[in-house]
Amino acid sequence: MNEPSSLRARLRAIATEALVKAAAVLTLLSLVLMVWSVLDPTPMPVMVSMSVGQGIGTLALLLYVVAVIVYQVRLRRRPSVPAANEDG
Amino acid sequence: MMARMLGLAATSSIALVAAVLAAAIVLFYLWRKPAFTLGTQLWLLFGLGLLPLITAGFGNAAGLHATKQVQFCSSCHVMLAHTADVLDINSQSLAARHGRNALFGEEACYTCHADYGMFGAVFTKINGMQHVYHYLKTYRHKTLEQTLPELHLYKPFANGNCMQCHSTQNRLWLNIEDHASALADVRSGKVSCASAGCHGYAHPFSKARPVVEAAHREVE
Repeated sequence: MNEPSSLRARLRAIATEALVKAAAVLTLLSLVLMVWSVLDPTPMPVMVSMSVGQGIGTLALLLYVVAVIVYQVRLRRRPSVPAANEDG
Repeated sequence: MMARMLGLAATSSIALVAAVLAAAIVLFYLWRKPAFTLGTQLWLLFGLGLLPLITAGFGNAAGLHATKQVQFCSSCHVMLAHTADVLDINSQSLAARHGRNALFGEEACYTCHADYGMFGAVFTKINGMQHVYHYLKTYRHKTLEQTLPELHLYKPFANGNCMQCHSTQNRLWLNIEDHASALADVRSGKVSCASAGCHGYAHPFSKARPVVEAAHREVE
């Protein structure tokens, strides 16, 4: 019985880490697009920044919020697990 | 003007600084992979949330300001003849004479062509997107000479835009006989300020063409 629940916990931990990593990479991408429009304010960069760039940034923030919620829910279910060693 | 330039520089700088700080936080996380403690979560909230939001907000302000510049309009080659005329110190066209006014300055195209109604800024931007769509679809690979005869406004130029400055209520303006006699038609838009019989076309070099006139008739 312990093994599957441990596996589930491990999978959730990986999911949290993967979500945060994905959010980080998407944020970097959105920052590049947004900075591009500030440095080169011509039609294409401005349009791409305000649509694709900000869309990716919003998606990244949503992924991060989901990751934090998943992590906090997991912590509440297993309050004895030290937070510092969970995903690091 | 100087204050506006400084404001724009500050806006762009804030957007860039926020982006650099956000990128630094995110790269640090990806590089060191620290434990997902509450502290890390708060730092990441800055890096993934607040700082990018600041970049987006100030970047939007800088971007929207950029879209009002004559330089921005002339970044599509089909507008080069229009913007060259506006910036030509020797041109006597209606557009050039207004463009030399400091109140128009670098935003001459936007000042005349903006929609001044409620939500006008939004409609102006939507129209701008329409311009980009037509540019990418039709005019991108055409030369200026090929394009010029086909360019026309989506709807006749509104006198309301002229009346943002020329209220039609000033006594000096009303003392001009033509203004007084056509007052109702000018205010209703029946007679265009920028027509051949009045102050002339704003961009006269682009008007003496049957294609444009036909397009205007179609819209009317």
